[in-house]
Amino acid sequence: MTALLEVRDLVVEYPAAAARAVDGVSFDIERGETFALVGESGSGKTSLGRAILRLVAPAAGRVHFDGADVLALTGDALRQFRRRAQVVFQDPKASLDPRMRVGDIVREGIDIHALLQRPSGDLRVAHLLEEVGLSASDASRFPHEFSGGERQRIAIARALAVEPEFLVLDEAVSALDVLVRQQVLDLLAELQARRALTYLFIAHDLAVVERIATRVAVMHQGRIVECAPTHQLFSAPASPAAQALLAAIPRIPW
Amino acid sequence: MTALLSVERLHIGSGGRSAPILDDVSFAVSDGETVGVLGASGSGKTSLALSLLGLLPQSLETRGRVVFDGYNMLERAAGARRNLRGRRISMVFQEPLTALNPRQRVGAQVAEVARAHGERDAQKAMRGAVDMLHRAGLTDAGTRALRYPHELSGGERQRVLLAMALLLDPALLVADEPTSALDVTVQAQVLQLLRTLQRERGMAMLLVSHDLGVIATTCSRTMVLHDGRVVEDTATPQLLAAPEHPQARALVDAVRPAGRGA
Amino acid sequence: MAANTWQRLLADRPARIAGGVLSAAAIAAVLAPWISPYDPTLQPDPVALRLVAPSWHHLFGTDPFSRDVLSRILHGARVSLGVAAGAMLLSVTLGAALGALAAVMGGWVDSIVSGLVDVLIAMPRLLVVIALVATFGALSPWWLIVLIGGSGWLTTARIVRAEFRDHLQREYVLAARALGASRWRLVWRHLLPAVAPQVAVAAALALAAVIPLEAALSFVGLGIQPPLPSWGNILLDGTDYLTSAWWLVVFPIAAVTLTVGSALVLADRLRTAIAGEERAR
Repeated sequence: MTALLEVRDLVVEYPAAAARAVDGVSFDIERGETFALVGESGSGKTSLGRAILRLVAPAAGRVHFDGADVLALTGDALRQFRRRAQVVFQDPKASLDPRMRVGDIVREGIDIHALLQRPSGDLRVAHLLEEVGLSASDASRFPHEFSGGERQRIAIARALAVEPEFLVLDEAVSALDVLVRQQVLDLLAELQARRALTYLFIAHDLAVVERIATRVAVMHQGRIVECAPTHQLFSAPASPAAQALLAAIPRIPW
Repeated sequence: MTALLSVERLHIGSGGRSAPILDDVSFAVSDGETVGVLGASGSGKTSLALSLLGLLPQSLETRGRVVFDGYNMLERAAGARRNLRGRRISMVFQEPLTALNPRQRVGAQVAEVARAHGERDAQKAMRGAVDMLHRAGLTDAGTRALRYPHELSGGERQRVLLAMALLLDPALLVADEPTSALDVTVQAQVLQLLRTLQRERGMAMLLVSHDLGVIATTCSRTMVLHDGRVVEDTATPQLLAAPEHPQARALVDAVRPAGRGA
Repeated sequence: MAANTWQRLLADRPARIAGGVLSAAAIAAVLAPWISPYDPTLQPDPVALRLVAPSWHHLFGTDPFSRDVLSRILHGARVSLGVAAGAMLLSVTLGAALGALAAVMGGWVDSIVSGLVDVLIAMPRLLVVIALVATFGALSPWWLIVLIGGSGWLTTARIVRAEFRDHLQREYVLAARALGASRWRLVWRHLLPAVAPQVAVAAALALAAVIPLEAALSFVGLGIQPPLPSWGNILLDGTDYLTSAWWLVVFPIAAVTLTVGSALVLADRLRTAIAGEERAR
């Protein structure tokens, strides 16, 4: 079986910046795994995630999703890809339209892809809200009425509404309190098991990915400098960048 | 030994709308002591930090006493309180970008602290500021002092805030989530710096965070705040080994590595 | 709890008063034929009823041709406010559409629109309009709307383009794009609601600019032509009698000041409401 996602020699450049944000990156993500991409801010991990989803246009390289060339997709094929690959951003304050009700936010994907008509769409929204640990009646409220963790659950429900197979989690728990972070990580693990999801988990904190990632890639200055199974990276980090990230985890004197 | 700071039955109401922000909070901090305040968001820890400097909004109803240097910070006349702030008690905030003036060079902002407390010689104030920025770990402090906040990275801005807070050698530093907005690698550097400066100066420190990892590596004592109440106040090793209150246990378990039972 | 911009505006007393004044003026303009005490063009007795001071029979007095000034102000509101509202709607719609187009399409479309705005914004509007009127002769109200509205879209276009570009970078728009939302869905569902309060500010300011512009044009004889009354040409009729018949000057100026002032207050309170909403989020 081939990998769900194949990235080859991907390059992302911004007109104003001197250095490449992403500088020739290659990796595969297998179906059902949680592939973590870890690096300091400015290492290019967010640009990489957005380029894979075609939210920014890469300067060079290839991205294949389930065998199809993502960068060449147009029209209906591109819409189909957008349904199958979804994203959750870091700051749920910024990623939810403050003027829309939660129900409308969650059902936006359903409407865009005309997946369901009004009544059954509303029912789906109610189920989704419950699936992420909120209640169906939250649909009529606005994002600012929720806490950070609850907003992130709304963002997850929105992504799940179109029944995706692949989720890019771009620092999805970084803005959350330790306790809430743990709850959202548990939710993500549960959803992955139930829905057979594949995750690309982007983070700056190695400690966050230890429990959920199958493999970890360490990014530094636009390149992947190390990629290894999680336990191996934690027990024997080879690159200076990975060693620095590991050393940064507070060592609690248990 | 008499306490440097003592908080007595502090109560902060939220205007009768819902539960109080802080409810009957009492504790003391001695000279040179490092105390962590651990709590989830909404536990009231930021309000607690602000109240120690008398920085709470006037609209909030407060009861109880916050005694620092023998003065009640909740009652002191504005001028006298200002004289203590920055000199005897200082604060660093979570978001260094919003805590700095965007239109002023960072060196001048540090020097301003000295000027506000009576330093007449502008050049001397600036030399002191650059020196403090250097000690706060800002590389190439002389030229960086001429930069504006947005020209620095998040970690560098937090070092500027620390330099401002520590310039006049305060007896107590209140740090409210000083590393939450930073990358973990930068967080590790800033925490190391905090520990070093605290030890060098024998300064007391109250470190507020939601992250036990940050507190346990820095503070000898930890208070757990939950729904506006102190539910646990104990030596940090004791908390790690045997948290008593359910909320304390949850916060400890959230960072406990797999396979390490309590 | 935290209300949106429109709810904040409705709860704001100065904004409600200003809105009330503008609504009253608009209603008076619409109902002018039914509520005016006299025919605004009727000259019942140019000798006996010439320049009568305000009284119970003529609340605002009469003009040199014995016409009732109140009736002329009310009918003038129809023309003056009609032209102003039409010109405002045209300029704001045109500006919002072109600004949105520039921001969403980018590339050469953006270059053309932005270039056009940069060039046109340097032109003195009043002089250009006067020059055009002087060339083509006196204009009907419809042409006045086209001319004033067509020259007033620049600031709205700038604001909408800048706001759109800002919001296009935000994560909620990225999230919608990742869901497969088309450009037009982004515009209708997310971007236009986001900039609507800013556009409303621009509209109120446009109204405040356009009312005196029409009055000025009519005052210098290049706008609305007699016998059709407008606030500008009522004032023009009164200038010869400035010292003897104050009512010919005071009432049209008061009408302009009250409506323009209300529009400015509305714009200002709207800005405050926008800031309040942003702080609440």
